Amino acid sequence: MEPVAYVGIDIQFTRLTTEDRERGLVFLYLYDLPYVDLTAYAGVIVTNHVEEQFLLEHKTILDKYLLQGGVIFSMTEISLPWLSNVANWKRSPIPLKDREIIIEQSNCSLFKGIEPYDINYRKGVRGFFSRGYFEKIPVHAEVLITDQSGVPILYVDRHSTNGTIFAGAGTDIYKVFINEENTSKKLSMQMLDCIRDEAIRNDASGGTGK
Amino acid sequence: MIGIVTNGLPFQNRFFAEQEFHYLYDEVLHIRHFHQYDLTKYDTLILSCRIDIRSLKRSQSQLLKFINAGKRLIIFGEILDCWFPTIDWEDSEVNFSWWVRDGGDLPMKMQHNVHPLFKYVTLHDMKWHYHGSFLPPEGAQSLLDIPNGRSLFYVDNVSFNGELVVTTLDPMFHIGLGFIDQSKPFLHGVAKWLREEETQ
Repeated sequence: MEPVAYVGIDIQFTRLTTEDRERGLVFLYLYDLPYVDLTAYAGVIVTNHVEEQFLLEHKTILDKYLLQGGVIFSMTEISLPWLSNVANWKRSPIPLKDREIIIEQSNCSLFKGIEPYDINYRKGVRGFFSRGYFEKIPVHAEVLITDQSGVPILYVDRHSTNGTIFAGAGTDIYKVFINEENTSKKLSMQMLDCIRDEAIRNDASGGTGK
Repeated sequence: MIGIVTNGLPFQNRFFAEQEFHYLYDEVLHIRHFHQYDLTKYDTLILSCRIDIRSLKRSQSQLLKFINAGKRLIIFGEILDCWFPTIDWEDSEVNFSWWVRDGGDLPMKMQHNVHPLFKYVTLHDMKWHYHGSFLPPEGAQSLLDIPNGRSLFYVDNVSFNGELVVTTLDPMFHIGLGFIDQSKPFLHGVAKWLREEETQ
């Protein structure tokens, strides 16, 4: 099982559990990014707890990793251009209590078997999945999640680089649903599976430098 | 003069873009460059919620020197690894759904009601959820207690030469992300209290 990096600053909300580590998730301290070789990981999850200016200062590291066929799953409410072709996050004008998260038909297994209700509500409260959207996405990107207005909330882009970029408009979909007692509980493991599948696919197509 | 410390996280950047809170602070300090600042010009330093713990540990001696010079230090959010002396933090499960349940409540009680902060802040303004609680040191004043006797907000004028204000509440996070309506009146209340203190 190849490790997947989980990038963030060190706060309560980025610390990993024993279960996370058993799944091969490894905490990668944001400020260690210049000193690591990202090809040591099957993929890199970038949380919403990152200093974007620092990422922008080290954009070449991420660009090089993608050039080598790397897999980056961003969950950041992006406001600076540190990740290739990912547009800025916009706050949704739809009140959270009225906003419906929609799972689009796709061959991607990220949301397979997950009931839309279970990612729309946590204990009766709406708004955890995302509070925003992307105003635009790359031309060939595959949209996985939208809302009732049709704006993209999560997509996968396999064309802008040699690697794969999953971009989500905020919220840590690895952690937020991990302890729920419904179908959303599967999301965290399916996220790691998707990342590893992409890494294998990219490797097979010769994208990776490994 | 009031300085506020940020980590440059997306929600923090959006909080600082909110014009209505610009009167809360005079200058923004970045935790990554904290060792470069001259803190002597500030009367109050505010640490935003969700700042990198490793960076805070590296700033500990500067912050202790600051508060022991008779200044006020205000810390929002979780306190991990006992990174600042005297603060006894305990994690708790977050009850974020009490308000959608019939008759639901999140019990908490104001203490020391004569504290000047309460000219500007109500119990409702402080009541959304919390991620943990504190056991204030002997002699410190809790302003907000939960039923087990622990505190969500206290003011400590006995442990240092200056004043330490600590709260589990995380208004910058919620204002930056645009949810939890109470977070705005709460932080406006804190701002008005601090600015009133400046004029005295």
